[in-house]
Amino acid sequence: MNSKKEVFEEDETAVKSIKYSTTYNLSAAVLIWLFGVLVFIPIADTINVQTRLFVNLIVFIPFTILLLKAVPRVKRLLEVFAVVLAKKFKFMEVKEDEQIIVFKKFLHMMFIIVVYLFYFPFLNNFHPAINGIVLIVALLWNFFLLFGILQIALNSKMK
Amino acid sequence: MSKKEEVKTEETTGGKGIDVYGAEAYAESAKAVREVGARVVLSIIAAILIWLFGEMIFLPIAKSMAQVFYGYPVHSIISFIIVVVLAIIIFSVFVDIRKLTSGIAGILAFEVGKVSGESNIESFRHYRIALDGIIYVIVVSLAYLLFADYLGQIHPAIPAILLILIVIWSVFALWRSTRAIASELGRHTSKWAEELEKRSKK
Repeated sequence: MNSKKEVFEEDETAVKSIKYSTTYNLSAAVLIWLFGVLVFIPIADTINVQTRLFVNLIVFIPFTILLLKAVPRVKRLLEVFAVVLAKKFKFMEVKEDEQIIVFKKFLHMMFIIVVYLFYFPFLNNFHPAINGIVLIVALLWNFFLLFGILQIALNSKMK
Repeated sequence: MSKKEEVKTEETTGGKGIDVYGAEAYAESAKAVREVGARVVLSIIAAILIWLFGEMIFLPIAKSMAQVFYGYPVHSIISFIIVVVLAIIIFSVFVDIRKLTSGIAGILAFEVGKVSGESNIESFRHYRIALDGIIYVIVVSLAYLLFADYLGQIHPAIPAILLILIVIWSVFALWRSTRAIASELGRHTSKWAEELEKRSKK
């Protein structure tokens, strides 16, 4: 019971802290990404490869800075979401704490996929091999998270 | 709304209600668009015509010539002339374009505010600043497209350097725009976050 209360208190502080800077950082990052990927990089592509690389780098750096600033709070937000989802969708015989972990891992997987998709045009412009390496890392990371989810599901079934 | 906030709102509106202020700002923006719109559109049409003639007629003719004046080939000189003319046209309506973009931003801000049910003058201003920045970046990008090809004829490095400068400027401009709208977004997300908080407590 006590741990439940602690989780709620933590949720409350997390929810309050996401108010301003996260939305600012994320919206600025998305806006810069949109203009960079849809306008400036195609224009640079018509000049030469060096310009495309340079413009790519100029858009990539602020996008990464803004995203890195937002990531810790987005992670806390995902944790809150996991609690809400765990309360809403109950499945099998898994305990509530484990259900929260399952949803947390699932949301992390989604987050990794979305972040990778945002980085895809930049990485591909740097070099397709860099994109490939990052894709492999993202896939492995997702695989381990999925493995964790399956482990929890199997353990609950065994019990 | 608390008394303090009411007093603050009264001060910022000069004693007018939000509806009156919004309507006045909308009318002002519409007037600006009406006043400078025709001039800007005519200048843009002129610039596009010059670009088309240059690209389709003068440059191909110049490229077929082998003469070199003071070390510069004819097509570079023609491109330079066209760039100067385009620059004169664009910069002569620069102030009008600024007025037009802020007018459009004002109208959009009013419409956006109306749709989302905003009843705050600060919100209207924030939307206006944000949209102003975004429209400005779009206008500068389109203007760059007019110049890029001709600058490339003068020297291949010029459009690249200009583009890099524009990208750096637009990153900061977009950053500023988002800062203006951040408090609005923060307000909306805080409402949503409170809802989430209630759900997680159930």
